[in-house]
Amino acid sequence: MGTPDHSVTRTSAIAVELRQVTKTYRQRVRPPGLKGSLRAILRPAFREIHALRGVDLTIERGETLAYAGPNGAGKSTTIKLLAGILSPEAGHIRVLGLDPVKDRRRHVARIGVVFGQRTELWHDHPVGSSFEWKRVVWNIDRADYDRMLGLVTELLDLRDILPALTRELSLGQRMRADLGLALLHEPELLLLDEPTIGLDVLGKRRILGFVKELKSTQRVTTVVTSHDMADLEVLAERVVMIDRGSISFDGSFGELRAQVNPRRVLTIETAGPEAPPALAEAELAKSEANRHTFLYDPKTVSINALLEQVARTHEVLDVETHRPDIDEVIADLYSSWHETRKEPEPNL
Amino acid sequence: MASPPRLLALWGTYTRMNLVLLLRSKQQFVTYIVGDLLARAGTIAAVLLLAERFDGIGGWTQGQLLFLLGYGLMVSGIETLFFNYNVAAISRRIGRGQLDHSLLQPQPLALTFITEGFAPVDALALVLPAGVMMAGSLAAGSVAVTPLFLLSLVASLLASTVVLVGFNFLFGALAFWAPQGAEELSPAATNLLQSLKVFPLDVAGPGLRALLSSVVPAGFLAWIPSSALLGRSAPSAMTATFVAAAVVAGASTFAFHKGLTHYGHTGSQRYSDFGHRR
Repeated sequence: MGTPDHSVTRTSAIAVELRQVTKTYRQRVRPPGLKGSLRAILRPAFREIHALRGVDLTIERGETLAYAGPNGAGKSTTIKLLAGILSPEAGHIRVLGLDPVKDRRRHVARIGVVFGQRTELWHDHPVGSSFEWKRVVWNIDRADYDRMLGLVTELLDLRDILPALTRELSLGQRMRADLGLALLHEPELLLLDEPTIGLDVLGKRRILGFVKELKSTQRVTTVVTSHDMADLEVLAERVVMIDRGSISFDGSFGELRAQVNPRRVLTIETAGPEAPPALAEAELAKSEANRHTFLYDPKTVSINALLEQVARTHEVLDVETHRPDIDEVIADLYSSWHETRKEPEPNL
Repeated sequence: MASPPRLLALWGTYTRMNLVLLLRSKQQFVTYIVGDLLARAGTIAAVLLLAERFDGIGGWTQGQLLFLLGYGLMVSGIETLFFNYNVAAISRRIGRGQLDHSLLQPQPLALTFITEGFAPVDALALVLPAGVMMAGSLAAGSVAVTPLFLLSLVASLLASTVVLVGFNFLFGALAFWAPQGAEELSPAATNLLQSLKVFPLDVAGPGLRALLSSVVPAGFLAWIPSSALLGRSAPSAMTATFVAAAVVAGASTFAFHKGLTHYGHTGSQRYSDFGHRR
């Protein structure tokens, strides 16, 4: 293995291209009880799980894409396909101009992968040893390695972590170390599968801040999955939602909100514990003592009109207005999908 | 395959990591080395005591038995040297989805397997006593030591190691299709070979001997090559070990490639990091 080959797509603006990609798993059906088990051995039954159904997706170089969906939607399958760990049943995948499976060695030399629930670090060794191990296995030039080591140590605040054993790190420290490790060979594409899972607020803030910094300084193409839509909104302008193997939304977070729940939240604090104001064009969502929360559609009624109506009957002490929390928007979206879903899907 | 400098760079890195792991503490180091030596000494002592009691086993003198035991231990030592830790537990690596980590490394899987388990310090606890036993036997005049003998010895040891490692990978590859079952079966199969290799199989009946020289190739780990090297069987018997090595290596490579293609389609749905990276 020599220096990573960047010649194939240096001039291409497309980093990732999926065309009609299909991935189906065959899952054994296991009936309960001894009788069922015996029957399953003699006459095994299978069901097909469609992890991806003819997915089309293009990601441009330098773009940060949020890839979201409920459990079993096909997020991890997509990440594994992009990493070259899995091969598709049908369709065409090109990542940085390469076929991830056929050109595995050249491909993985140019990508970085971080799985939130796995670690690439060596458990019983100091983090610095894992970094040195990576330098040798990835055949990274010493000068490039030293430069990147300095960069990730600085940005991810790894100075105190490098001499520590991996198994002694907190989850947040481990994730920072894993991110640093994934970047040492200067990947052109970074795949982050649930990088903030299990982290506390401070840990999340550090990871999110780092990925944002990376985006602005290194122009690394990034695909990030998370259950936490608020995290994704911080990182990416574009969000792709996947459900039961099909892309159900591809656009900005603003467009997603507008499509799922265009309403805004208006909270009014009145002078005393009174009955909530009656607003014809807004829906009362919650009323606690003198705080009343309404949902309204800014396309049909203005905030001024609503406040005028309130002022006629109540003394207003304070007013807050904001868009619904993105997690609530997504919860509404998943609920609508769930209603049409017949059976649960496994975690894919 | 990789160039010699690349191989040396990788082995050098894993040697340092092997030392770092063992030198975490004095207790750790002593436990590892002394514990391993005691365990091996126990197995060897049992066979030697039997030989002492019955004045040899199956026509093998005590000196010849010492050579056979040393040979078998050396095969384990070479296996430990190159394929220790998680590489030896290949069924676990496949069955628990840990192969994903290897697939993300920009080098051939074969290179990963031949370097990642490199553990010279661990291997010392096997190679050193094995060397002493074989040297002791040869010094006692078990056989004339000539350059041809030494060449044959090295080639036989490598072939026997291929049989052991290939057998491990052959059963380990079953984890591509039956992850849980293979995790149980694969170490049991390898342990079976390891425990049978210390006995001279002359005492077994022809049926059992045939079995242990074919489907369960324990005979190739010490008995068959030692018999040939010590002149107890025709020199042509030496080639049997090489043929066995080729057959087992071919079968395990075929099974592993088939399994890897299957893995590409199914992946692993039961990822666990237990046992991963030492």
